[in-house]
Amino acid sequence: MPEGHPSTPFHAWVWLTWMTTLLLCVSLTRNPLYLVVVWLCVAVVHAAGGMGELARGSAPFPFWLSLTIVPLGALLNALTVHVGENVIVTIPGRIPLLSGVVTWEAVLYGATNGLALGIILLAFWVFNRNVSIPAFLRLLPRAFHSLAIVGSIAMTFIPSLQHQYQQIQEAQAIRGKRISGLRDQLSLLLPLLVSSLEYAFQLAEVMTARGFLVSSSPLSQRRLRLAFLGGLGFVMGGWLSRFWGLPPWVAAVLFWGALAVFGALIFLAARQAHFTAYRVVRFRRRDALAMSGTLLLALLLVLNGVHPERQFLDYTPYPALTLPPFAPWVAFLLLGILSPLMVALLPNHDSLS
Amino acid sequence: MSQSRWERLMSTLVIFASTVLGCFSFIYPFLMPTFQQTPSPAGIRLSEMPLTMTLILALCVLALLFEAQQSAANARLVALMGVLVALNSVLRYIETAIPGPGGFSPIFFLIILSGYLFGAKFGFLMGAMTLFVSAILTGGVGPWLPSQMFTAGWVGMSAAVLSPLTKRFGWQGKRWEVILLASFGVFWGLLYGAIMNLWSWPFIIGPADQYWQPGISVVETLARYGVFYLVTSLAWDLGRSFGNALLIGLFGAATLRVLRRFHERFTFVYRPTEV
Repeated sequence: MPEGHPSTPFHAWVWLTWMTTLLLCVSLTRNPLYLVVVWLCVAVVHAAGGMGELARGSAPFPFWLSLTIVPLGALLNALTVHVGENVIVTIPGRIPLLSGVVTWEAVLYGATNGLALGIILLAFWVFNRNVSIPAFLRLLPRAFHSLAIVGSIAMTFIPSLQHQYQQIQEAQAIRGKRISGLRDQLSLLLPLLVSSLEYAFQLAEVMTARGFLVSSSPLSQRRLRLAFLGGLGFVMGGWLSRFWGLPPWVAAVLFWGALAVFGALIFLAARQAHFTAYRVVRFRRRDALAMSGTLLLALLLVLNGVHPERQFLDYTPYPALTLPPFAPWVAFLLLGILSPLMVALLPNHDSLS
Repeated sequence: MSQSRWERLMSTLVIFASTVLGCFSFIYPFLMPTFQQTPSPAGIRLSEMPLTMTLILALCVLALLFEAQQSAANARLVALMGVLVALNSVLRYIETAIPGPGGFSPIFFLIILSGYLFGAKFGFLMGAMTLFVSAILTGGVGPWLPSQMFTAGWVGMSAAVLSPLTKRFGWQGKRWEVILLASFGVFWGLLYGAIMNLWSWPFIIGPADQYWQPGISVVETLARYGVFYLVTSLAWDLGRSFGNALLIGLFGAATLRVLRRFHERFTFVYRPTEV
């Protein structure tokens, strides 16, 4: 499939940003109106399919699963949490857990939680379908290139495992051993392990012959370790500051500091890794366009997170049910979730590829 | 202090700090009972705690992976790990397609044996990478992945503790070695479930005597978690425990012999003498 074709998959970064923004969104708001908008957007992206070579049509199962969780959540919460002023019915007696008032507040809260869970499930389904395995491995930071190679070896070795298994099975059959029960199947595992390890040894020789080398100077390793310890110290400090009742901004500063330290470390460690890319995946203009909508939304959510009042997204039905606030501009920004779909629907212009 | 000892100390410190922080992220709700308490008992679930937990666990996994990948410092160990992870991922794939009884999972067999033979860092990588690769294979990537990687990594990492024990008592290659590893499998079969429950337990609602509520004491929290575990998870986790013991008991000795033979070949290093 030529690059720039409308059905060419988006860059994996587009889906990673999309996924992260959705998780942020679901974690920061329990406003049912906004969550409904988010669910609709994710469902539309899921239903559209065809945006990448992996997304061949949409599977109905995750769609219905995400919808089923909503009434289940409402029912469970209504029956177990007896808080709220708008009573629907009272369950009499002394039945543990169930007896007490069933309120509209609990119903709404449970349904909202179910909706949030449904969004997460559906969003991960979309992510898994649209990001291919090689693209996923390419997302790993270069600082972890040894692990990316481990992952690549594992992924490429899995198909040949089946072939090896069949060969061993045939060899056993030639010797007159009948493979019938589970016990016989398991007896094939040891020869499979031995042949796999032999394969690993040969592969290692090839890698060494081709110049594979993990190397970095001890001094830089020491500095990186010290910095990692500093980053972990920031995280621990952030938590302890919440524990000791210090102002929330102290924890926020320490957490963001830790993220900055880890980001810088990964960047520095990546610079030490040398490798040759045989197939460069370009980040095209259409990828940037698809990413921009979700990035804008992520920016809003981060601003909301650092805002002390959190006036955009906060809502709780407890103690008495009120109409959730709904700002059309927030809902409009939430439509940014649709940006991969909208860009995929654009006609194939050379300027976008 | 010599350079190599200094390096080892730093490495141990990074592993220790990441592990402590990871533990802390699991037991955080127990230590901070009034975190973001809202007017309703269910209000705690409004908080961003699951996201914070996932983020912090992801940072700990990053730090541990960075440290542990130093153990795969040559092509032979990288290839060895790739192949073992592939084998384990296929086992998990089969387990997903044909679920075993209860929480039975064949992946812990190789994780425990690898950690035991190849050391703590290799064991951690084996556990974490198995979960990572098999999650990609089975489409199981989700917010639960960092905690799964972390806990499976602990299984492999802690298996290394048994190695000096068997050396000291001269049990290597004997029946006691397999018995010890099988007992370790039973122990981790239960503990893995108990740890993984903690990922969601403080944020879900249920019977008052089984679930966490803001403001309750540590003792009460532990008691409620104990009841919750007995009611919902013990039977499930016993399947995993017995499965581990069964696999190690049946195939442990033979697999250990094979892995030991290859261990020598994979860790062979040629150092020319300086003139």
